[in-house]
Amino acid sequence: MTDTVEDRIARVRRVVDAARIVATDPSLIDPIAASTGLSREGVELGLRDHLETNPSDEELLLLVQRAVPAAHVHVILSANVFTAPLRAIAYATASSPSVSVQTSSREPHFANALLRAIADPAIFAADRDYPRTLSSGEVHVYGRSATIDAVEKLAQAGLVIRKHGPGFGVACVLPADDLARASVGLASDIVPFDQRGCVSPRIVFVVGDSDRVNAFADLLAAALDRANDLIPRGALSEDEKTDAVRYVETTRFAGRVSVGASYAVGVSTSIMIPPSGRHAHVVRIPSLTEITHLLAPVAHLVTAVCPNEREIASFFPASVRLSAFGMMQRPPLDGPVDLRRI
Amino acid sequence: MSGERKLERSEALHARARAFVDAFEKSAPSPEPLDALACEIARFQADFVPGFARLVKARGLDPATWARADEIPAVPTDAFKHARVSAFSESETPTTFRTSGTTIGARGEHPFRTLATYDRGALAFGRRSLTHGPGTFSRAVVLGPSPKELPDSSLTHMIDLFAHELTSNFTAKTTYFISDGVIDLETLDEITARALVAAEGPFLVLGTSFAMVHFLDALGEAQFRLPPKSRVMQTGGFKGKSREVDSKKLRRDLSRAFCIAEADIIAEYGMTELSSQFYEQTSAGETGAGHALHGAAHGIYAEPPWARVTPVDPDTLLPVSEGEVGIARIVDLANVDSAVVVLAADRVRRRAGGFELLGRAAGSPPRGCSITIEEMMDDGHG
Repeated sequence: MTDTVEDRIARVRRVVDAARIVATDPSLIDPIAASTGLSREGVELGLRDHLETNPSDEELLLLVQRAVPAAHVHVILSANVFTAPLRAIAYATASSPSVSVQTSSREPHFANALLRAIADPAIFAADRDYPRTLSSGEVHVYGRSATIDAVEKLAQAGLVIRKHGPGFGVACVLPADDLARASVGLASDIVPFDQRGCVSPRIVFVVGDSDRVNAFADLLAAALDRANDLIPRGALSEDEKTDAVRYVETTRFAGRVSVGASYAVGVSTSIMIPPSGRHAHVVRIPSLTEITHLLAPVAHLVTAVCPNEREIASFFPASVRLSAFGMMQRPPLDGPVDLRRI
Repeated sequence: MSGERKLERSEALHARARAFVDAFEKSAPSPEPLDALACEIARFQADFVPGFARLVKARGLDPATWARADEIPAVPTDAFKHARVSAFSESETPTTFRTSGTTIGARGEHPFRTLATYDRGALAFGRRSLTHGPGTFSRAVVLGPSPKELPDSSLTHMIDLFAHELTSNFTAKTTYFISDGVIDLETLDEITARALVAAEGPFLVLGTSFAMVHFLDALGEAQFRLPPKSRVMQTGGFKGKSREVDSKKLRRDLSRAFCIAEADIIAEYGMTELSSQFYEQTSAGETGAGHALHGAAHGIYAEPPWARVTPVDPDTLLPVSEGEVGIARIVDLANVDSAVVVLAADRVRRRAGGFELLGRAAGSPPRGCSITIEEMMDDGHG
C-alpha cells in the first residue's frame, strides 16, 4: 500500500493534536521545571508560546516534503529543549508510520506525555538497544556532537542516520533598525528555554559606532531585566555558572559588560560566544560585510538568524532559518528546527 | 606616563622577579614577600594594560589599596584570545606565544617584551624538578616539533631551552624526532643503541602526553632502553589530539618502553598564558635544600617560590576551604608585562607540597541543544 502525502500529513496532524492536549496539562509543569531547571513560568511560556500546535497546511506540506519516506524511524531525543519532541516525532511520522522514540532520561516528561496522548501502537517508546533490531530505516538523532558520533559508530549497516547537532542563533541590528524595538524582540528570543535551544541567539552584530552599539547593549540588558520579572530565569547548572563568571570577567577585560542577577550583555569588537543562561554578546561592526570573516570559524554552527532581511540572508547559507526579532524561537513546523543537515 | 618611565618600571619589576629565581637557585629565602611584588606588578599592569585597567574599573577596585595578591582581580585565560594582554605595543614585543586554538578559531596570544625572566625561571625550576644535578643529561630527545616548525609555541620554546641548557650534547638533528607529525623511530633507535654501547649519560625525553601516546602506538611491544637515570618530562592533555589514555597507564607504558622507573617520569603543568611552570616532584630535590618533596606522589604539582596556585570557587572567585576543589587562580610574578594573576579553566585542590591537578570540570551533561562552551574549547600549553 502506498504511503501518500495525504496519509503522511494526516499522521503529523494527529501528533500535533496530541501535543495540543499535552500543552494544557498542568500536572506536567512541575516535573518539567524540575528536570529542565527552568522556572515554572519558563515551562508555561514554552508550552504556551513555543510549542507548534497550529501549523498551517503549507507548513505541514513542506515538512512532509522534507522528510524521506522510510520503513521505520527511530528517534533519539538526547539533548533538546523540552518541547522539541513534538517536532522530532512529527518529522519522523512524516517519514514513516512506524516510529520508535528513545526519550531523554534527563527530560522524559513531555515526550512520554506526548506518546501517551498520541496513543498509536506504531509510535512507541523504545530503549537505546532498539536500533540493533533494525536492518533498514532511519535513525534521527538529536543531541550533542559526542552522542551523534557514538550513535553513528554503533549503528547497523543499512540504517540511515540523520544528525541534528548543537548550534546557536545570530542576530543583526541594521542601521535602519529601531534599537528599542530590536532589543525587546531579541530579549524575547533569548528568554525561552533560558537560551538552551539550538536556535537561541547568543551573538548580536550591531552595525554602527560604539555609542550606538553601547546604547543597544544597555537597552537589551534592560529588556532582559524586565523579562525576568515575568519569566524568572531558571537555575543554571554548575558548568553554566562557571562559564558565566568567566564570560563576565573576560568581557570586562576585552570590552564592556552589563551584568544583572539573571543576565549578562557583553560588548566587544571580536566574536565571543557567551554561555547559555540569558547571556548575549554584542559585536560592533562597521558594516554587514564584516560578518563573513568574523563568523567564519563558527559559521557551521549557526542555525538561525534574525531579522529576515535580504541583505542579511546573503551572508548566510540557505540552511539557516531567518525570522523577525521575537520570532527566532518560533520556527514554523515545516521541518526540523535545524535545517543544516537534512 | 612616558614610555621611558613604563620601561623603567617594567625593568625594575623584572629584576625583582628574577631575584626570586636567584634566591631559589641559592636555596636562600625569597628576597621579599610574593604578595608585595604581586601587588606592585598589578599596579603597573593597571597603569599600562588597558584591558586590566577596564577589569579593575568594572569591579570598582583601587589598586593603591592592594596589599595581598588575592585582592588582585584574575585575568581569565580566555581574555588572551579576545584582547591584547600586554603593557607594551606590538612593536615593543618581539616574541608572542600562541595557544593551539579552539573550535571557534580564536588563539590566545601572550606577547613578551623580554624573555629574560621567563627563561631564567623556567630553567631554574626545570633544572630542580627534572635533573640529577648540573649537566647530568647527555642529550635530549624531544617528541615534538622544533622551534623552527612551531616558532610561536611557549612549550616548544621551553623544551628547546631545556634541550640546550640541561644537556651536554645538543644538535637539532639528534634532538627533535617529530617532523610534520611523523615520528622518526629509526634515528631514535640508532641513537639510543649507540648511547648504550658508548655508555653515554642519561637522556632527558621531553614531549606532550599526546606525542607520547603516538610514540607508544608506533612502538608497539618494542622497547627503547634508555641509559640509566634517564628521565621523561611529559605535559599537557590529549583532547582531540590522540586516543585518551589514563595518566597512570601512560606512565606505566612509558616506564616499560624506556626501561626507567615510574618516578623518573615527571609531569609538567604549564600554559601559554603563564611564564612559570609546575612539576611533579617525584624525583626532584637531589640538587638542593628546601625540597622536602623528593619522592612526592604523582599528580601533585609544586610551584616555584615566584608563583602560587589557589583553588577558587568558580562562582564567587573566592578561595575555597582547605582541601576543597576549585578553579586554579595563579599568581605568576614572571608575568610582569601581561597578567600577574591568571584564572585558568582547570580544577585544582591544595595537597601537601603543592596542588593536585584535576583538569576541566567533568560536570553534568549540558541541557538543551545550544552549543556549549566546552564543545568549543580545545586548548592548552601551545
